[in-house]
Amino acid sequence: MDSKVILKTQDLSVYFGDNRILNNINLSVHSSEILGVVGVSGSGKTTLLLSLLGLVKPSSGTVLFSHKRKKDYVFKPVNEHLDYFRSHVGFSSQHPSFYTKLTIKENLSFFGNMMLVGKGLLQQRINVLLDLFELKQHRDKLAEELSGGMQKRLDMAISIVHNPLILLLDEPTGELDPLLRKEIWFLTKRINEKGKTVILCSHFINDLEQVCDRIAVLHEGNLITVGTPAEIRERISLYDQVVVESVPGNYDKIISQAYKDKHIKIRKHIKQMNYLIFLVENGHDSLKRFISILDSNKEKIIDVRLRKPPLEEMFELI
Amino acid sequence: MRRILEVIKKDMKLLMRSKLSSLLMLIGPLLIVFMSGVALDTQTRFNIKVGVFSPTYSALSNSYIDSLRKEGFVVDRLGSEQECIDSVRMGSFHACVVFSEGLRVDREYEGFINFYVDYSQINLAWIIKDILFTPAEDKMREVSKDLVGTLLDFITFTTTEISAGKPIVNRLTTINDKLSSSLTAASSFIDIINPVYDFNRFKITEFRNTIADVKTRSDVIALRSLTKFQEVQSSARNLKLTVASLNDPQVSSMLNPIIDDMIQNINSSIVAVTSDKQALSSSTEALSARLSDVEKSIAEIKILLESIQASKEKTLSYMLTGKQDTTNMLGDIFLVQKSLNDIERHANEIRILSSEQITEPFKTEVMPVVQEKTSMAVLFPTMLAMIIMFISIVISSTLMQIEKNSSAHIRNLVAPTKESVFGFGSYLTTLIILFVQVFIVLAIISLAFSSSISGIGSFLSVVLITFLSSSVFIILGILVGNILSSEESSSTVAILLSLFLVIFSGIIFPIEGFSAGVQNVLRLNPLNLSEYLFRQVLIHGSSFSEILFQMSLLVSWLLVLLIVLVAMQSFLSRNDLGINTRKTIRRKSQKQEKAEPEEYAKLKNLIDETNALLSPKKKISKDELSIAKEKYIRMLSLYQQLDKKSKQRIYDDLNLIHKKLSSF
Repeated sequence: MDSKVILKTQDLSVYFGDNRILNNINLSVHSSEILGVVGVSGSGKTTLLLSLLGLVKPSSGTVLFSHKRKKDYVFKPVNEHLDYFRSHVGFSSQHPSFYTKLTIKENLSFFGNMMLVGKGLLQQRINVLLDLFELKQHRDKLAEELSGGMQKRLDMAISIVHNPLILLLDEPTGELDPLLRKEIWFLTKRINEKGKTVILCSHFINDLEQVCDRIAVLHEGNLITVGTPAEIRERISLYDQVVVESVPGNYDKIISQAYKDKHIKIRKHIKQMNYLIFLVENGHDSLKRFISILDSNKEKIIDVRLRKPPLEEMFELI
Repeated sequence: MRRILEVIKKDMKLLMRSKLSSLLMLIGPLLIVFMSGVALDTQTRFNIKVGVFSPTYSALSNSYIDSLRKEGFVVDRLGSEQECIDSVRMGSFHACVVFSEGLRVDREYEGFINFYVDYSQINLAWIIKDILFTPAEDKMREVSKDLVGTLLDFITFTTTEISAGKPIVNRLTTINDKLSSSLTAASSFIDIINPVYDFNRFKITEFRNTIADVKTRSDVIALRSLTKFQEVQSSARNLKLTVASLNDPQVSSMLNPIIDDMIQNINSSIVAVTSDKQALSSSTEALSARLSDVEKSIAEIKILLESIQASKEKTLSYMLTGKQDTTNMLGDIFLVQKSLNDIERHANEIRILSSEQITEPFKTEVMPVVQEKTSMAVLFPTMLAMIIMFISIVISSTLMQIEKNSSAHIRNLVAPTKESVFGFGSYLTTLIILFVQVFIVLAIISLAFSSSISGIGSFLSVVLITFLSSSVFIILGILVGNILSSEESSSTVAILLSLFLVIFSGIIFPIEGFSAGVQNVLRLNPLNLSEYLFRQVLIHGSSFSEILFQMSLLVSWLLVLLIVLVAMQSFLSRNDLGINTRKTIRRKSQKQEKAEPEEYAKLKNLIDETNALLSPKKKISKDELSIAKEKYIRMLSLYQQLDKKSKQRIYDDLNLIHKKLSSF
């Protein structure tokens, strides 16, 4: 048995009625790693996290966690040892999960108690977390009075108030601006550096590349791939995006001609506002062909660019 | 225990920091008590208008109207009965009182006072009805007192007359006895009289025959005598003729005178015989006539005797009847005597000879179980039970919903703390609030209304009833909060449930109005039980043993609800997120999806792209700046299309772009 694996799913499937949400997921989480789960909305990321927490009962398959017995580690089903497992797991959902009418300190204290932290230890933990998340000077403020960033920090602080082994983060940067996002990723790293295993879901694959040790790609309930960010990047490096903006913008004609051009290998196109975005295999060659198509159609070019597509657009391709 | 205390602390803080909840908790009971106190204060009548009508007003009706005015009513005389009734219907008057023409008390006259109130205004109608009746009853009592006085005088007169008449009746008995004896004696005497005689003994016929025989015989004798005399006469005449034929004068002379004399004598004898015969005939006839008279007299005597006999019999019969009558009369006299004695005895048995006491043998005044002059004190237990029910159901269901719909709910679900801890914590929180409120209400009632509730001393009973009632209603609220997934539906059901309990508790509509079977069921209504227990303890000062049965019914409710709650909790096990929890999470995710419309996604993309363009790490060209500004204009356009929540969510990002662009 791999001693590094702290949590794993075995043929995990979840159905809500006739809807298949997760399909035969086999995923291992290694101790002290940051595992990112990425996928578009509805891909099953949150359900996977809830299943790991034991909040969603698997329709089939199991979720197992590593439990140290004497010198050996044994896997035990999460559903059969919920309270024990949950006392070692922290969870933070996409939206801050705390009482907005309680202060920062009150929230930490309440959830610490609910997570069975001893009274003396809890006070120490609260102080440590207030420092770690830079919330000390706001500790007596009501949670509803905090800014979005501080609320997210508080949420994460609450998640680890009981010093869990594993931290599950569901879309931790979902509604945050880039600066705050960076801050959260920084904090996540710091938490991870303290030996915690972090499992996080996000659709910001670019961010996940920066923070995760491994990334698991989910699509329509299926686990597409698991690998390091570099491995994932390699798998999608073949593709480029050509962004076109022109006047008068006779885009239908341009699209038609582009698809007919043998030198351009288009996987798909999107018409977004005044832009035409093409997902192509050979970016540089295609860019030249697009410029000539625009010229031939007497389109005044406002913007023609080549860029790497966001990873989320690549899920289907992977 | 520590966790339960933490849950209570948390719930308290959440409720206290929510303006509406804290208002509900602290001001609510005060407000309810104050409003109820003002509303139910019967010391003053706030402008209650009463219309009155009578075809002609009498001293009695005027006196009643004056009484109403003294009671504080605004009284107006209206033109007709219909106008009076319509004024109530239209709401310009609260009540209408119609008197019969010249309201008076008379043997051949039946007076009336009709009250018209609008029963659609239930509370007002009852209050007005109650108040209006009082002066009317006072007047009726006065009239009754006069009438009863007259009756009492008559009874006194009758007893006096009976006392005076009793010796007369006794005398009548004696006279009757004497009369009866006289009649008996007279009957004996009369009975002795025997007016019967054998008139054959007179032998009238024989007598008559004898007379006839005498007459016949005398006639025969006379006839024979006359015949002989006539023969002698003829012989004398023949002798004379013979002498004359002898012509001897001497002989003639000597014989003729003799013969003549003889003839003369004979003639005289004949005349005498004839006369005697006639006299005898007359005598016999007279005798016969006398006999006829006797016979007639005898016939008359006979008739007389017969009539005497008939009279005797009739008299005896009358006397017998008379005797029977005297016997009957004696019986009647005894009956009269008995009746008089009975009347006298009954009259003497009438112990209450005061018209006041008879017209009002029992004082109908509500005695001071509660000394208050307002209805508040009487309705206080009902109010208390209702406050407990409303607050319990509303707060407990609200707490459940606050917890379920709180963003922190998911965190509590993943905590290794059993859900029952949260449930029990919410229960205790509501219970504490309830006890505080009950204390506030009791304090207000005791101080502001100078209440002297007899049962206030039985503090333990009040605490126990409050605990049981609150527990039942809190668990009902927890069930409602658990079953329903949204705060809106939970509040609606909580209010509907409360209304249902109130309507079928007898507080608004008397339970007695329902059929017997339904009544038995409705008596099990926990609000009804709670109200009954508070009333018994707070107003009537009932001991614990007297309310044990109702208490045990409340305990039964509590046990049943606890079983239902536990069964439901195990059904909605958190191991599988529970049906409602899952629904809540789904709804949240739907809300989230809803909150992220296409425009939001586009705007977010634009923001990402612009942020990438305006990255501080690189130098920004004019073209890039131009593109960023163009994107910003598009962002503003998209921003306008978002709903309020989405705008709030994305505002900071947009503002950041604005600041960045402004810095160039």
